Amino acid sequence: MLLILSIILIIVLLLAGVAVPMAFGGVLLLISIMGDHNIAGFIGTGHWKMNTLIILVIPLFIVAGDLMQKGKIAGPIVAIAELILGGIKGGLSGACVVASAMFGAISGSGAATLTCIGSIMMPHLRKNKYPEGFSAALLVSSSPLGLLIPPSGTQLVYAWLTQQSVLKCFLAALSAGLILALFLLIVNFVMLRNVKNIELKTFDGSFVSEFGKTTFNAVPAILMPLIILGGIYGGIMTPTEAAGVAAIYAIPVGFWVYKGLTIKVFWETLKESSVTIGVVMVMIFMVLIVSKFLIFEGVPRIAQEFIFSVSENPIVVLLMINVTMIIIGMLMDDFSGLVLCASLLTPIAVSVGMDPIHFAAVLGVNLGMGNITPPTAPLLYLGARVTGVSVQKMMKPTIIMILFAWLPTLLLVTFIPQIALFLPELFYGAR
Amino acid sequence: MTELADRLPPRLGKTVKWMVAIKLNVCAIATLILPITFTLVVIFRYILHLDLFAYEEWLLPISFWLYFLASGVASYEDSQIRADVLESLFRTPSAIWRRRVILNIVETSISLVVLYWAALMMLREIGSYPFWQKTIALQIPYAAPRLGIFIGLFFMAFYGLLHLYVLLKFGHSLVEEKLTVDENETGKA
Repeated sequence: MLLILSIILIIVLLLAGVAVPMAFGGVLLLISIMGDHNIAGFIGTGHWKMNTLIILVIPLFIVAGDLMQKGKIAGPIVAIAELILGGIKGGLSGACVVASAMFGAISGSGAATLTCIGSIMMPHLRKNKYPEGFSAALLVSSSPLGLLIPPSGTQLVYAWLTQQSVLKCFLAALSAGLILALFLLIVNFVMLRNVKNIELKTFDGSFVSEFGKTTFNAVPAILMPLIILGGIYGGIMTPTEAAGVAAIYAIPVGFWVYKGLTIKVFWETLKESSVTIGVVMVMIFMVLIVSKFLIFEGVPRIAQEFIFSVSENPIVVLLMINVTMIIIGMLMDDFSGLVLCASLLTPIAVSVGMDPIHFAAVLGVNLGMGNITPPTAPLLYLGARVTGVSVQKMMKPTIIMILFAWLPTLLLVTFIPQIALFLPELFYGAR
Repeated sequence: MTELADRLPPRLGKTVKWMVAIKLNVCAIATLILPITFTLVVIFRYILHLDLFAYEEWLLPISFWLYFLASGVASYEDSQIRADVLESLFRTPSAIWRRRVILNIVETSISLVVLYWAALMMLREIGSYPFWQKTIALQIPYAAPRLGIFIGLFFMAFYGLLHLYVLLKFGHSLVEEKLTVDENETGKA
């Protein structure tokens, strides 16, 4: 009963437009009325749950991403991608996918990737006469690659919540991210094959000298993910320390290398980042309390029984889990969706024989897909703002990309566990 | 752009603006402290071969103050994340206004309940003095981060009430004004 009422209440509150933390506060109110709990312990529970250093990786990723965005670190990354692919038809838009994957690896955030890459690439795409709706849709569809290409903040949080190895989660999600990037590139070239008027990018000097110059300019930007990944994989730093070092590294690079930061911009960026941190962390605070009490009330077991009452076939169960995650991804941002799914759905996925490392990749793809799936699609609406293209114009190409790039990736990653588990097993051996 | 404080009675508006500015600057400093600390931890470990002793015991309370004070500012700016799926169904200023009032009442009511829970937590903390829980090394009371949570939740509820006050005071005209601004911005774009 509590499960059904909680689900109904959260859906009603979220669809009505109640702020996410307050919507979860509403569910907590319901739990306090229906369950036998000490209400004086509710907020303390949230404090206990979040009183750990690893969770600080989220604010650190947010501030690092914002500093990179304002520091104009995305520019040289886009330049490399353009240089490699810009000379062929569909190449400039293909460069969006590559640049999003590269910048996603740096920022770890879909929204930051979309804002940075979208604002730089869209004028280039317009100038070279790429179809507007298609270009904006591709930018939106590529932006969640940051959830999959390591280092990814969401994978770090998943690993913390489910007590899994961070590095294994990174590797599992990486395979999914590469497959998705490949599918997006294929869809891009297929959709543009009959489009006329597209102008190809030309370069004045020789390709080699241009490539050398552009790569040299991009070195400080490319060093960013290397610091994080090298630090973590080399056992030199914890993920939280690596994120902190990356944020500090972004300051001189933004001030003196790419010159996007001034004292004023820097201070304003810190203020903006802090508000984003407040919004995200308080939302996670509330989600963690609710998920703790729902788990206490036996909700995962009830949900499991409900799912098994529909079917015990693992394929059907996995499909149902996927649909649930997509719906959650449609309603929430990546971090809060992740916290909810990881807490409530991981036990169910594990009960049908899914490896939690495999589930990390499936969850990443699902949430990314939910974030761009209409009607809610937080990234789709952000994309409209960033690119200045209406959601209506983006709708058809976005749906095509969901059907022919995201959905195949999701099905492959869900039903062929080796895709996600190959790299973790290669580096760390089978369980 | 007109912000919440501009629509409040002048003295209250000025106080609110001042409080928000202080909170934002405190949060910006806290936001900078986080990466600096972790960078220092790495520098201490590999260059100075030292340990930054029990840094988590003071860093985590700072982070809780940051989360909740910043969330208070987000409530002031009305920038909390919401799904807003049904927003486009409401077209007339009066319908939009009515929806906003109802949403605000729901959110503020929940905020007040959550604030009440936080107050109970604080009362329990204070009641347990001098035997309250402390961190192991630096003996920082758990009441320190929890006070940040309480104050942040207080501001979230307070700004929710102010939004409701402004909505009720200005009525439909507030929505009409916003729609005009949005139309002008769309026109310029």
